Amino acid sequence: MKKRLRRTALYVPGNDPSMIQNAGIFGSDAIVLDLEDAVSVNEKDAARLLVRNALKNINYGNTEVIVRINSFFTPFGKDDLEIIGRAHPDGIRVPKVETIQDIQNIEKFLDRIEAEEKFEKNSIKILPSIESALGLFNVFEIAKASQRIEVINFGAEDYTADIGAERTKEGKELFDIRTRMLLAARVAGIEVQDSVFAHVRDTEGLIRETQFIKQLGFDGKSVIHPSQILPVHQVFTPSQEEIARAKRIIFAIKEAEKKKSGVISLDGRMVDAPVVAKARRVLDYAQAAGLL
Amino acid sequence: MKDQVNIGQAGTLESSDVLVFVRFSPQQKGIKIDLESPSEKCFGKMILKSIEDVLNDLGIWNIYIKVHDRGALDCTIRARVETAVKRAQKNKGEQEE
Amino acid sequence: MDIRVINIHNNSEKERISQFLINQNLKYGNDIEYTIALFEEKQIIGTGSISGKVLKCIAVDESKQREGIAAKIVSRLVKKQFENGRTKNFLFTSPDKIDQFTGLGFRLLSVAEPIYALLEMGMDDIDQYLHVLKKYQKTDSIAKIISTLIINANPFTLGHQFLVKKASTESDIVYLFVVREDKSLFPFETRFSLIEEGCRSFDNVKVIDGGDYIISSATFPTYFTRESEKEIVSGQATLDANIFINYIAPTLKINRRYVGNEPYCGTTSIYNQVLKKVFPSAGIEIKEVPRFELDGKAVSASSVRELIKNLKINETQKLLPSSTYRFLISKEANPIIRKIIASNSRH
Repeated sequence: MKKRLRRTALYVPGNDPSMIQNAGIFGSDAIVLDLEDAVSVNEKDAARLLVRNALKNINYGNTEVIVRINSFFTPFGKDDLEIIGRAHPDGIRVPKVETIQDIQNIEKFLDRIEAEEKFEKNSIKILPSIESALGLFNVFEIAKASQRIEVINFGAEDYTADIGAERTKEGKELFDIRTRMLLAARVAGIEVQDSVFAHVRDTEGLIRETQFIKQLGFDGKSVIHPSQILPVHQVFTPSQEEIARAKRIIFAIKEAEKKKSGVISLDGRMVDAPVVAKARRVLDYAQAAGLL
Repeated sequence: MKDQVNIGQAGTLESSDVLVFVRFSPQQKGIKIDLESPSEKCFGKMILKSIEDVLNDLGIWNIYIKVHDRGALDCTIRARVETAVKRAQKNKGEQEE
Repeated sequence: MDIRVINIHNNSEKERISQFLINQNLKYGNDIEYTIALFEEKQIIGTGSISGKVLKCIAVDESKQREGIAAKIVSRLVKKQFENGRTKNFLFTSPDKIDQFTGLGFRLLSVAEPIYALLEMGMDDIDQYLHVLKKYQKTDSIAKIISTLIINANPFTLGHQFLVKKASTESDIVYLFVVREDKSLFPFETRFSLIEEGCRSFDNVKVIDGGDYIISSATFPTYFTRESEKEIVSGQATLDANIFINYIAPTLKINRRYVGNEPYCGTTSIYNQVLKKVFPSAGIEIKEVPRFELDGKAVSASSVRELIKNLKINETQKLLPSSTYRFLISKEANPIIRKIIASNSRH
């Protein structure tokens, strides 16, 4: 189980020096320096160099630094990857992924760059973003397509446009993509993040949506404004009861190990691997929230 | 007719950014940098050195650059100068085609 | 928050901008070529416009006076200007907003209280221009009377030549600035060379390109549109005069300026009044010279153009130095003559 938490990923416009240099102080688990939708076509070249220099010079501490490049089907994608790859971000968010081939194209690029720059192999992660019907159709394969993939997410706007659904605030039209993304992620043994809640001033709406997706099983959510980070973290912060229960489970494991007993039970219930994993997870979240 | 094929511009006047204009011209001999910065006294020399470094790395020896600094980090200044120079070079290239 | 380009040909969009500006005592001029507005939840919270080399009508909603918005608007305008090949911008605003723009990196050039302030930013600024001017200076400094003349000369007539001759005989050096702006029927290059030829016999006269800083649409917009109230005209004339006094005159050590007395042009006479008010206290004597007359009528460029328009080119000969007349009857002048005949412009 990966230690890194991905409760929030803050999108940062790639052509905004002020946002880029301050992105790390807002407290999100990850930042996504965006070269795609946030940057106009005639500024793509400028944003690319700004982000490259930021990667090389700015210390973001423990925050995971992701760069969203343009799709390989645009004139910009390859240049983005070539230049940004060499600046060693933690990961590359790839938009509009539809087939395994899309992942393999990126992987080949990254293999070459890591070798040329003498980076550790597979140290640059791939974060695929599903934004179309075809992408969702292939998501099970995509999620397993590379060792570099640790988390997947989706783009609600593009997806709903692609399938011809109406985009609503409540998000009912996302039910299918959410459950499928979740399933694919769990089968592949990776994480899954929900898409952004665009209504920046509606904190209650954000909390409702985040509670809903957390309940479904999501590991985190993308955010577009620093003010959204704290509410999302709070939703992902375990309650005292959950923490207490998790502690008891871990304790029970340790006791069983001491006694070399194969089966663990707690309060009359079997404690098997998924339950243990979840308990560890709860404690990770609690620690991140400063509760331990 | 205004000859606009060998000029380049990058950046903005927003806080923490720099606005950069560059111009290649046959009359321009050497590197001329005009810097307008609120922190000219403290950081002027450093900023000039950064700009010169970028130009050296790009192999540019003759250019006129005007920079309006709005309190940008060094890495931002370098990125904007590099962008403006590459844009000017691209414009030049397009004209020669 | 998003920035949108306003369709300046759409009256209702223009009206929205006008309304927004009126609340800040600004007028949305007829000379504007490009306008952008910043919207937040469908409301305008800021706007800015371009007219030639000048950025103007820049305003931000008072309740949102965060510097960020003005910076965004100006940056977008600068970028648009750049796409049109302009690497330098003037900015026209009111004196109370000077700090806001110097904070963005603009340099203050001139103030005419209480209405106008002129600033600039970009390449080839006034320092560059003054640097070029210095080269015209004679190194021997026994010159006592160093005069200047500013003319448009559309085209160069005997009236102009008379003025230049007077300045030349009464001064040690004469710096003759030619108005750069090409809003006249005779293009700048033609006007300049006709002036040079017409002044060849005066060896102490230097003919200089006035560039952006001498009666151009940046420093004196009304000179060309000629449709303003007296206050606006004199305010803008003050701007122009201040630039001359503070930058140009000291560089060349000018201590006298000759102006032609202008009976036909209201704007020019207001302008001259401003000069007479402001120059002497700056150590520059103003000499107003009556127009050269022929047959009881002042010889003016507009009367020459009128004759050309009416196809009476041969009648212009007595109003022009031979160098100008030779040009008029040559092939090179044909396109200009055609333009004059076809035009309705007073210029």
